[in-house]
Amino acid sequence: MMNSFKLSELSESTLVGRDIGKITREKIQILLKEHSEITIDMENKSSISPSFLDEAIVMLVIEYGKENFNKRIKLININNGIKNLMNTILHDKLHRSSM
Amino acid sequence: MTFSSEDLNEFKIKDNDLVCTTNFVKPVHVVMMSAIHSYSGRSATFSKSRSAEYAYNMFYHKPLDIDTIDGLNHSKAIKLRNQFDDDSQVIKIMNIFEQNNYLDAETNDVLQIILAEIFQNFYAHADYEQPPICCVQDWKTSDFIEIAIADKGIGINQSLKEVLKDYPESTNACRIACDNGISCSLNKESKIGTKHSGYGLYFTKRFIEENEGGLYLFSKDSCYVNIPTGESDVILPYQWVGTVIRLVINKNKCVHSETFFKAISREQEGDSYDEFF
Repeated sequence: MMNSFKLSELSESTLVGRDIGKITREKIQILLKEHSEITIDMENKSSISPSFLDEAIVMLVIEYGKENFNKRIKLININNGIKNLMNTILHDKLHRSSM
Repeated sequence: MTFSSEDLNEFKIKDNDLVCTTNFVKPVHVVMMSAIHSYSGRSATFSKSRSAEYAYNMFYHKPLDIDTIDGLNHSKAIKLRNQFDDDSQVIKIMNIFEQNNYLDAETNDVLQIILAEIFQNFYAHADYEQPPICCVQDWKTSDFIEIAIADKGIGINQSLKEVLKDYPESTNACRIACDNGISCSLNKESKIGTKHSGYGLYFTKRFIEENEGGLYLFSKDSCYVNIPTGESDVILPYQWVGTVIRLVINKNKCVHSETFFKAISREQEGDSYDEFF
C-alpha cells in the first residue's frame, strides 16, 4: 500500500539547512517503519537548499542503497533544478566515499 | 556598472567611526555601514554629500530602525530576522528577477537554490543577537543586480580554522572557502553522513562564473574576488569582524541547471554520472 506525503508536511519550517533536513529525514525514517512504501510529493518547490536535500533525501539513498530506496520511496513533482542538484550531491557523496 | 574591487577600498576609519568615500553608493557600502552602526553603535557616514543625498533618497536605513548617515531614519536595507524561519527574503529577491523576466525559469531555479544556502549559512554563523544585514539593488539601466549580505559572525578564518592548519599561513581563507567540499574535511568521523559538505560557496562561485557575474567575499583580512576577468586575492586596508558577501548577478546570462550541475559532477574525473533521481 502506497502512502503519500507532501514535503512541506514533513518539515516544520523552511526547507533550508542541515538541522531541518535531519529532522525531516528522521520523520521519513519513522514513516518507513510504518509503511513498506511511501511517496513524497516534492511539490515542485525550488526554494530548497543543497544542505537540506543532502541531509533529508540523499542521505536516505546512502543509508538504504539505491535499489532499496527505489523500492520503498517514490519522489514525485520534483523541480528540474532540484532534481539535477540532488543527482550532483549524490554523485559527489558517492565519489567521496570511494576515495 | 563595472566590476571592480576598488569599491571595497572606499572606506576609512576616522576617530573610530566609519567613513565611506564612494561617489556611487552600492549595496555593499550600505550593508557594511549599517552593520558597523547596528552592531557597534559607531557612526557611519558618507564623506560626499552627493552620496549621502542618494542614500537618503533611496530610503536605505528605514527598516534598520537606526539613525545613520544624517541622523535620520531612512533605508531600504533589510535587517534580517533573528531566525531563518521562512524563505521570504530569498523569495523577495527572486521576485525581482521573475517579475522583470531577467533570467529564464531554469536559471531562476539555480539562483534560488544558491541564495537559500547562502542566507541559511549567514544565519548559522551569525551572532544570534546581531543578525545579518542584506541589501539588494536592481539598476534598471544596468545589466546587473547586486546582492550584499554582512554579518558580525565568527568569520571564515575561524570557521575553517581546522582546515587552514594544513595550508600555508599566507593562504586566503575566503578563496579556500569557495573550493569544492572544503568544509567536508571538518568532519572527522566519516566521509559521508557529514555535518558539512561545503556546497554553498562552491556552487555560488560556479554559478557566478557561468553567469559572468561577480563574487566578492571578505572576512577579517582575507578577500577573494571572482569576476569575468579572473580570480584574485585583494588586500583590504581594514579588517572585517564577520563576513561580507557581494554577489553581482548578470541579468542577461542564463545558466542551464542540468548543464550546470552535471558540469560540477564531471569535474570529478573518472566517474560516470548517474541520473538516479
